[in-house]
Amino acid sequence: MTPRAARPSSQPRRDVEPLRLAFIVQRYGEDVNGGAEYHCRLIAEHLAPQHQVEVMTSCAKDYITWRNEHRPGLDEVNGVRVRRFKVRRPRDPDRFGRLSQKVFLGRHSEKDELAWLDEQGPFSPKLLSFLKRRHDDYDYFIFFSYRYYHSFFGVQAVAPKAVLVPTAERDEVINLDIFKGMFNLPRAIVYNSVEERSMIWKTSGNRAVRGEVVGVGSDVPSSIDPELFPSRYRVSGRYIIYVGRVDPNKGCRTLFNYYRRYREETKTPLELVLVGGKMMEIPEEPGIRYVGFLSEAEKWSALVGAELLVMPSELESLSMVTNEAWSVGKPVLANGKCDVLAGQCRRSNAGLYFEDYYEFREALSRLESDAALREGLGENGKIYYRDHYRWEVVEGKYNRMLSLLREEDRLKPPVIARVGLLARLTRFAGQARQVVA
Amino acid sequence: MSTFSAKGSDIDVEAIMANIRKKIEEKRKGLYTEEEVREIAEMQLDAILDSNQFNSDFVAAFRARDEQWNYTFTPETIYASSRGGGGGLIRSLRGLLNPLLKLFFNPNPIISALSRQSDLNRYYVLMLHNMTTEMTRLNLEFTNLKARLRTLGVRVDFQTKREKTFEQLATSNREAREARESREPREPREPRETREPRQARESSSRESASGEGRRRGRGGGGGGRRPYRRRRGGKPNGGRGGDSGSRDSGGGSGGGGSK
Repeated sequence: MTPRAARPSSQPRRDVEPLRLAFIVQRYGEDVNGGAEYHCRLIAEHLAPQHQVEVMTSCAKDYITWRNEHRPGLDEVNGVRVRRFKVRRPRDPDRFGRLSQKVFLGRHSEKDELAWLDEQGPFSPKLLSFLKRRHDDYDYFIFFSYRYYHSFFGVQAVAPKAVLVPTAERDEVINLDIFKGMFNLPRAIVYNSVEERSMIWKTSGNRAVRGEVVGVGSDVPSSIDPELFPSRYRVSGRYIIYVGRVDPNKGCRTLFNYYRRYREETKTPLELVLVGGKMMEIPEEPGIRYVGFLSEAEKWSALVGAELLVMPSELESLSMVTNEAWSVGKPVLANGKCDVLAGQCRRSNAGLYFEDYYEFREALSRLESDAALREGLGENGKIYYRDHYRWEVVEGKYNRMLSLLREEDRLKPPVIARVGLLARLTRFAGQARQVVA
Repeated sequence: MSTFSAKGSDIDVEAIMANIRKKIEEKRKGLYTEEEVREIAEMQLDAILDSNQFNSDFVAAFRARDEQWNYTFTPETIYASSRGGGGGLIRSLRGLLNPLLKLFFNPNPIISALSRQSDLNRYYVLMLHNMTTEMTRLNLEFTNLKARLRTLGVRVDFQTKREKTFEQLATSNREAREARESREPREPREPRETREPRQARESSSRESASGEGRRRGRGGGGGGRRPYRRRRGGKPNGGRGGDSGSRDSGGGSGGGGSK
């Protein structure tokens, strides 16, 4: 997902009961680039006009080291109140590497997994103790990314008020024993895709927990200048586009190999335009054009001008850029090994997918040569986006879920055990008073 | 719950994909798939090259039992008889009739060829044995080199990680020093101040190391495990469902990245 400035489009709604919501995420800010973090920011900003929203996060900007870079305390980002907590200990890459090897490759215990989680971070016990002390001040806590320290221990601390947005991928972390119980704890889970929900159901058996497939919307501009990108970057011919981090982990190496071979075999004039941060060497070959980061207007212009979006990543819990391509009626050529992307293509009827080079070649050549097919897939994409990923739909799903929880809580208020010696003494004193009376 | 599907036009992606796969299958007919080619390339000639199965006394055993696998052929062989005492008489008779036989055909080239073939058989066995010995030796050497390469690879990985850690440490130290210097305006320098930043850095790193150690000693990091410890009964479980998932032993070492 590509970070960009988001503007809350929602207006306060009278039919929604305002709630005090806390969003808990590992990093937060406009300068933070990360899928889950951006997802959290968009949701928080879109729910802020209707609810009292506060974000709790760490002071870190870098997810590798979790070094404290922001000032702890209160802050404000795009009108949303943000409370930052210091990370007590940055990540030790050596120790983390050793623990990861042990936990994912060798025989290990739950203690090892917990040690891995501590090192995974962001290790901020202050955030946890704040949650425990001040849970009465909030109606619900919405945790993002199950795999981090704050979610694992935070969900346990305020389980009766916790809503989890797991942003889970089909990787080895989901199989760790410590997480199996965790998915049974929250009051509700907001999934990004049907495939993510199936995977978590299968891993943790948490069908009893209320869950809804929601995802996240996109801020599609009302008008897009199709000439802006071609004129500014001197792109004159037909092209396919990749938007996102240019990274081997995102399948870019495979994409380069396949594209090179496709170009050699078919002598296609189609260029491959790459948009986003560069995390690997990009081959300097005919047809491959890297344009780096683009402004929002340029990005949408580039998307509109492309023949199709190519999405080679094998691990995605939700591809926002795929939804964006569909929102402007562009078909998608996705990696079929990613069950989320393949599932989305099948359900939307708006994209083809490949699992090896031969499928890539056939699918791309068909899309390249058949304008009617491209148009039909794009139209389907538009419908799919309109029905499932418009902000009104996404906000509506969140509000409906929160209202249901609220109604349940009215009948039976959630009870969270207090912590600390004083709390225990107070409770004991109350019981003693009742006995004496 | 919404079905998360759209049927906007008569396009059916699954049908298109099935069609694409069928077309690929037709093109591939009669050819090896990429996976098969890779498999063949990786196939090892274990039967010949496995040093454990190799018998170094092979040639000696063959030579000792020459008559069991080879034949002996001399110019007299075709006239010989296996009938004991009577056999001598028969052989003499055949010798007498030999000029008559030569009227029909010349047996000498056959005798010569068969005799030579018998020698060649022995020679081939020896040659094959030598080749097998050599290949086995090469295979052992190759295995050793592979093991050595793996060890070196592990060492390189370790050194790379170490280097990265040192780089990060150096960067964070430099940033900390810069931050400290920017916070505290420098006083006029005394002559020995030229060595001070390094000393300060060393002492600060020592202090931070000992401070970290003390904190850990008092239970630093316990904040992380404390919530779990209270739940000593086992995995976190809210009592709202069981733990029925099965766990695959996952590969890879990821999981640290942000999505």
